[in-house]
Amino acid sequence: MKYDVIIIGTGAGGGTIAAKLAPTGKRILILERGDFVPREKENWDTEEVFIKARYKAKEPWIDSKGKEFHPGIHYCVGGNTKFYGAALLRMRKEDFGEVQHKSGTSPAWPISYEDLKDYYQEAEEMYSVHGERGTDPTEPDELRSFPKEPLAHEPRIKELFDDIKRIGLRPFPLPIGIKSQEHNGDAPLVLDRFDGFPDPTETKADSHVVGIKRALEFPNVQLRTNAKVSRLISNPDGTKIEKVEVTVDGNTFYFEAKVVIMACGAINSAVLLLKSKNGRYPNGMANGSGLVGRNYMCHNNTAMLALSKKPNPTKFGKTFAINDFYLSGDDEFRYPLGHIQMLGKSDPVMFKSDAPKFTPGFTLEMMATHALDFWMTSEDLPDPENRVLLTSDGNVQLRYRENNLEGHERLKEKLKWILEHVGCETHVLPNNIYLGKKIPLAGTAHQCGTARFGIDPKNSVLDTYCKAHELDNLYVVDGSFFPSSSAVNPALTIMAQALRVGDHLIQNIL
Amino acid sequence: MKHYDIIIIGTGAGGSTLAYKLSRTGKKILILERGDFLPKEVNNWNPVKVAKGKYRPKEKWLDKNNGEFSPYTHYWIGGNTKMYGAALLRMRESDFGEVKHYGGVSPAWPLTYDDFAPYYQEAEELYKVHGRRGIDPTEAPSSKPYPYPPLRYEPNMKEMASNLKKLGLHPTPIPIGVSLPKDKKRKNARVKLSLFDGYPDPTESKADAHVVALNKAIKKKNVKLKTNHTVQRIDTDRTGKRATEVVCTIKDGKECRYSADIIVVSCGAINSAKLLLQSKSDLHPQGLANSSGMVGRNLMLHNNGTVVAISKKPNTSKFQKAFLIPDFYNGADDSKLPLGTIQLMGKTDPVTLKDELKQINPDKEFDVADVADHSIDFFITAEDLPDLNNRVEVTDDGRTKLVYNQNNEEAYQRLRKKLVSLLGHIGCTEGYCKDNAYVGFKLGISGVSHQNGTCKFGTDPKKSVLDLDCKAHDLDNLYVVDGSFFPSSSAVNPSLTIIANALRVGDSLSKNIKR
Repeated sequence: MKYDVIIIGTGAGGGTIAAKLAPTGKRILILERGDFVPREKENWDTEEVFIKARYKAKEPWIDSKGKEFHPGIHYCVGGNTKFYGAALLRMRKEDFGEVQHKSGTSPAWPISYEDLKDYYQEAEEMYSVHGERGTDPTEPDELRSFPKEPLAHEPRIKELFDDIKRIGLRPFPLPIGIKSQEHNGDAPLVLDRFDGFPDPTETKADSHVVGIKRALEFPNVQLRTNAKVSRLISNPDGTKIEKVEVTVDGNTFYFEAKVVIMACGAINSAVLLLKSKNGRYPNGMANGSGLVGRNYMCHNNTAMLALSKKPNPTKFGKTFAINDFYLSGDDEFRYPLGHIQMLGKSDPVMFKSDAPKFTPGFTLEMMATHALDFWMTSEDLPDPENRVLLTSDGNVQLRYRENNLEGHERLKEKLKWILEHVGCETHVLPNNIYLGKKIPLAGTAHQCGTARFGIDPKNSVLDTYCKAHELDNLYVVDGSFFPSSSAVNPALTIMAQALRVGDHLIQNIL
Repeated sequence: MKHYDIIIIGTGAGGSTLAYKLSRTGKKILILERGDFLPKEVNNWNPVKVAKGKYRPKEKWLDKNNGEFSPYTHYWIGGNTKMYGAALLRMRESDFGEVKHYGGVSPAWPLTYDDFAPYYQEAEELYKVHGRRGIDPTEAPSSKPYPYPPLRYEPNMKEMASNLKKLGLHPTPIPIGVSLPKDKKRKNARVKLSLFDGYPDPTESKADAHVVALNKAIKKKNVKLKTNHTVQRIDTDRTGKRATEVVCTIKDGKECRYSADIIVVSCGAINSAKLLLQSKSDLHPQGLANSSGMVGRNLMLHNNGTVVAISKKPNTSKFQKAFLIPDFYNGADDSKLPLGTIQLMGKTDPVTLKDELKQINPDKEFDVADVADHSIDFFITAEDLPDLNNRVEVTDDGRTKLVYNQNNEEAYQRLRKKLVSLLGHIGCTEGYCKDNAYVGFKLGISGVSHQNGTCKFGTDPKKSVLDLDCKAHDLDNLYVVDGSFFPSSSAVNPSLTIIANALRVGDSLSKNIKR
């Protein structure tokens, strides 16, 4: 069967570009290896979601030492956005240039913030982002306002927000993508399950709800679920993808299209390219540079819990962030530290596995009612040895060695310092207790970098419109193209670039 | 004071449906609801919190002995339908006539089934009922199929149905009002129903009055909704023939008034009666529209109860509300007179189940979760008969008092026995708990979800409160549109009849307005 466009994957990149291309009337086939996440009561069941990993891929990968692990990855319509926290931030203007970090250089992007600016705005509109311009001290310039007013802080969070302001910092409303109430007949949604949970009410702006669903309203768009692409087949010259090989229930099908857009997520897009090696591309499709799978980045992320003496009855705590240390720590350390944001409220079930030993005298229930939840992101730097590989038996191997940790450690110290100065001391416990948990290898939520874009085909996989340098009709629009990871959640940048590529395809290709 | 063409008080099955119907007339409509929107939140699906009354009002009512109880009622946009099981059945044709019961006579309605039939169809379409005609031998005739095919039985429900069929019974898919993605052509995420009856639905798949009716009405510019407005009184003009304004209290106890040409009371049979009674004045000393003395009388609640059968085999069903057994509606081999309806229901919540297990065996420690995994839950309904002495009263300090003595209990007991006799055929004789194949209880006075009858309709103003259009005989412009108008209660869930009647009244009102 012949299509104009095949899109492989329905996450932030695929879902967004599908919605962008749908109105063109072109015949579009969307292939998704997973199925829809059913809307069911388990969606909001912490035990099912976090402990039993009900919705995670059952696929074991192996680490650099050959040991199996289960990646925190989701194969479903909407991809990882179905489970994301919808924190949708633009990269800083500085992130597009070269940035000096303590342990190395974060390379410049081949495009500037200006190239992406309009698409950031378009992505914010599409994902209904709630925020307030002019409040984030490091935000890039933008005169147009956010499409939606910032979400209101709940009382305990507002108090914390004000306390942090009082010590001289500039906390700001965290931009969140959520469909707002359309008219006065809508019942309010209490966001007491958000980060990490699918949303059965379909209010969270994920790429299923705002991307795929909208695309499917057009008769020229078709979606196949449970359709895993096993291989891309090029013509003998290797100038174009001729066929997409798809496995459905053990049966193999082939589809053809003028344009093939991969959006499997940075890891799986690299895997698919590597798997699709042939005579012309012995190291993997589009991999003349040898860079496919390399420079894997996933951020230095830490979730931290502060136990405050004051109870925190908050339902949805994710309403502010702190970027005061984004570009520079302090006089002692003039390198970037990273980004701090609040998380949705933790609940006792989440602590079950590892918490009690840290917290004598604190029950899980007490922890949950007193916890303030933070998330910290610092940039990790591209390293060609941090890479996605295929083992000889076809397994996915993720080799990753952390780097640039000092900024991240200092960011944690900054947060502790903040908390000590805003009344999070507790007299119940001898010391403040912070449960910091660095997200391990399995934390692939911020994956990027595995097919970086650039001008020079020798040191990049994709051109600046995310087309493979070596092929005329192959595009990759997930986090793969990132030459550096910045220190904000990558989702909005993936969406914006997908819109930019979509625009380019509409104007010049289709 | 703001003036409207129509004020509707209450947003349950009657009020919301009527609002939907009238919204298309372009008339200025004000809808007043004492409650607020029920938030979509994690606790919607928390069986313990819901069972303990998270979504019920704090209000306590009084029983006939002035004992306090917490009524099983809900003050939210959508009223009790927000928590209902959306079992949307038509009354049987015979229910519209006079029927002899063990406990007396169920009186005839002043209208026939044929008067209601087209509105039943409209109601089924509006509330997206999934069902199949032609299986239930007692069902009333209809010219069109259900708008959607029945929900599929899960494997053990299917097995049970086939076992019952072998006995010559006619298990019939419960007609359920629900909107599912599969009903539409477009590909979408599945909705897996599980906690349903007794729970609000954050996915808004359940066809409740808020989602399917009110929401459409208030999208129209001519319709205004005010939440957290509790109507305390309806005042009339000096002739007493026209209701002129409603007096509400809002959150901080402040009072506000609105006037209208037409006022519709849709507070549910109990609260509608209460509102009329507490609107008494010199011109209406017994309560508004109560020259007959019938307001609040003939309260019916059904003989409702549950039987939780404990099966040997685990019950894997997520959505257990699969079929009903209609075969004993008009009687049985050993019972000449009508018994009622048996239907499957959602799983009994752990709090209630624990209480029931304690009652059958106080000394034994049950693993409630394990019992729940083996339970099959039935809901049985037998008709209760109108009795002038079963009534809603308002005490001097303004509280709600229900004077109610259950009648026609013999039908209920016989029906229950019938069900119990069937349990052996569905793997529940030597039950999981050895001595007891089942637990269960009869709903007491607090089980008011099927409330009806408190302002019955009829042709004689001396014997009825409402005329055939559900307008108060005593006033020119006051209507009551909820379960109040029922002259008899039948033995099916009342909501579809309330909805159909709201559409019928809406039709007649729309015509009058145009004139």
